[in-house]
Amino acid sequence: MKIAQLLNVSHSYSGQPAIKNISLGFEEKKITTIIGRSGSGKSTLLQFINGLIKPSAGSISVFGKGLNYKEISATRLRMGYMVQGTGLFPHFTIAENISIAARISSYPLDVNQRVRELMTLVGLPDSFQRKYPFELSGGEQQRVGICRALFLDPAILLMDEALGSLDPITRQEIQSEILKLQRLEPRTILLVTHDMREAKILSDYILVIDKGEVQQYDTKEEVLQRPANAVVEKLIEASVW
Amino acid sequence: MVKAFFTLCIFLSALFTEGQSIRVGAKHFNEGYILSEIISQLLESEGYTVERKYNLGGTLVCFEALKNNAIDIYPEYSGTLSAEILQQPQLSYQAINLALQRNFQLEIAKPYGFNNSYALVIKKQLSEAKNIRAISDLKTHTELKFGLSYEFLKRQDGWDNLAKRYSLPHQAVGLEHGLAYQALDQDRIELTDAYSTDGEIAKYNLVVLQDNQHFFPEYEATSVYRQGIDTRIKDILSKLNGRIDEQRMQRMNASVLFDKKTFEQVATSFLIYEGLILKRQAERKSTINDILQKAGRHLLLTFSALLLAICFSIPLGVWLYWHPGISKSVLYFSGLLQTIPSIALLAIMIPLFGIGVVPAVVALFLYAVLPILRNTLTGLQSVDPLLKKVADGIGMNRFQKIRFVEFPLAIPIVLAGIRTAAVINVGTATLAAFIGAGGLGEFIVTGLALNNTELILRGAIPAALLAIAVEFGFGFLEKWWVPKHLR
Repeated sequence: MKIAQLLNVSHSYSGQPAIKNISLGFEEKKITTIIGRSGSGKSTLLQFINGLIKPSAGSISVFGKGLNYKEISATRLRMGYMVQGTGLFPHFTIAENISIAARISSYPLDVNQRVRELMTLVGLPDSFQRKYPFELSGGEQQRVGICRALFLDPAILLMDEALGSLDPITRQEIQSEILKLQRLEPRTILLVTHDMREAKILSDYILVIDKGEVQQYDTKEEVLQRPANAVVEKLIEASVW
Repeated sequence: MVKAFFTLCIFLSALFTEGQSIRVGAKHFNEGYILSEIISQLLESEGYTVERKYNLGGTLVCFEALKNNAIDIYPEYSGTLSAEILQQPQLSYQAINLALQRNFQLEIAKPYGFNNSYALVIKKQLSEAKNIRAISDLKTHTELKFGLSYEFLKRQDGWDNLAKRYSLPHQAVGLEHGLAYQALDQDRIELTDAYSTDGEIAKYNLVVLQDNQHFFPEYEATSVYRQGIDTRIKDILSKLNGRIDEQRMQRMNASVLFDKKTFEQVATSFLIYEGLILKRQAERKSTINDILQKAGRHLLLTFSALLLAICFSIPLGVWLYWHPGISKSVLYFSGLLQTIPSIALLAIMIPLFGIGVVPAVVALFLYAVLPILRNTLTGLQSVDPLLKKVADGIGMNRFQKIRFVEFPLAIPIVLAGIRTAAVINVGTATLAAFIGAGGLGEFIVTGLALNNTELILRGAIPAALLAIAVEFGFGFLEKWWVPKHLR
């Protein structure tokens, strides 16, 4: 069974179609990269899953149930969410940012212990707990973002161009971090990017989208070795440069 | 929320309701203060506790306050009651009393004995030299130079009709009333119009020409009070009947305006001279204590209104943020409130809440709403959309989102709104004196009425210092509350 599924989903912004009748499912405990050019609809597709965008037509089901938009907060607590530029709350310390999920849900375990555990996991020193986000580098902030997204140990982690603003070296470090975490505790990761190199490093599956339509959705190897069309080929070629 | 607001209003109203005593009102001008102080001291000498509600802003405020049981007594003029309150000019004294009893359950005492009407004045020396005692005597003295105030030249009961009634052939020049006495003193003009009890009449040794054809409406001064007031008080007030003539009132006005005596001292001297009280009362309080007490009241007015406005505007701002469709109309409406001149807004409050602290707090509250409301809304709207999206994405409901993300990030802008509202309130609260709410405005209003700069500054300097202190206070609050990187 797929952990998240889209059935005949279409969406338009101010009458302009952005997603055109897509039906697909995401594999459990695998990393799927959703890739495409700017404006292709890849980010919209990701935001269908946590209900940030409600499609104009079609249905979404997550964890085997159709999304209930009236009680969407409860469903979102079961999914980690990371965005480009980290989206850390500037008025909270690092520890408060990481543990924010405990304040909005009934978290039964020791919050401080969980914070320390996650920080150790991503290689952040304990002394950062009382610091504010602005005192950290971009890479450190992104690691905090990972800790925050993983605080409730979600079954799905959504990453919306989360590594987009990092320099190449930091980006490589974070990618290794993600792979390490995935080996330790595998979960479903849906990762939006426009960078095929990132897709090559991280993915189990690759979904190529262009102008709101799925161009190819298959295992990484299949997509890289047998691109379905010129659009996919162009994306792969561009990553060689 | 509305229920909570009204409960708070009732609580504040209960808090500020003072013990039962006789409340004497006064219009904010020299003669009003003196007459009210005479009444107050007379009642105190008879064992009553008097609450002085001076500086009430004019006829409307005083009369509404009396009607609404916010004061018990104040001195008024028959002509004003007839023309302005009963809208029937030239009623007789008895007719005024009957109409007041019938329409408002109020009554007036017998006149104090002077008529403060328009009058024509000339120098005493000239009056004696040319034997001019009455207005009709002017007819044969066409050589006299008339300098009349612009208002008198225009009024129905002014120059044109007066000249017709007395068949006066003179040409009159217009001039500012404030300059007329000096012009008369320096013989640049020989006759001007005046109020018959002006202190200047005594100071410049002038005489009021007798209105022997009864052209000017009567403005007999008297006490006006509710019918149901204790008869003992009526008896006490009746002691003033016929005791004050025009010359006496002129001298009392001059004592305050030119001899720089306080109206309390002038009232005491009058009552001792008339044998109505035996000794001078002890000074009520020292200047410093008085300033501190009024500054305390000023802060009470400012901050209770501010607190109410915060409790009302922040939740409303949040609600409007969630319902952007109507936020524009609500902001527009509260903007309209801001455009009502302060003194008019205070006057509007009187029929609704009477006089005193409650209407002042409500008016100040209305002024404070817009800056806080607008800044709350702007603050919430200007939070980084990415952070709002993240808050949604990690599973916050809209209340959690406001509590943990949007409101904390909007605080610097909300605080700026509160700071603006507080400074506006400190300034506007000086006008609250006009409706008997006290505060530093009492010094200013009294000082303006008595043309006493020292008294004006006694109110204006502490009020300005308070405004500066509030500005700095909020600056420190912001520094203490908002982390440096978010400012």
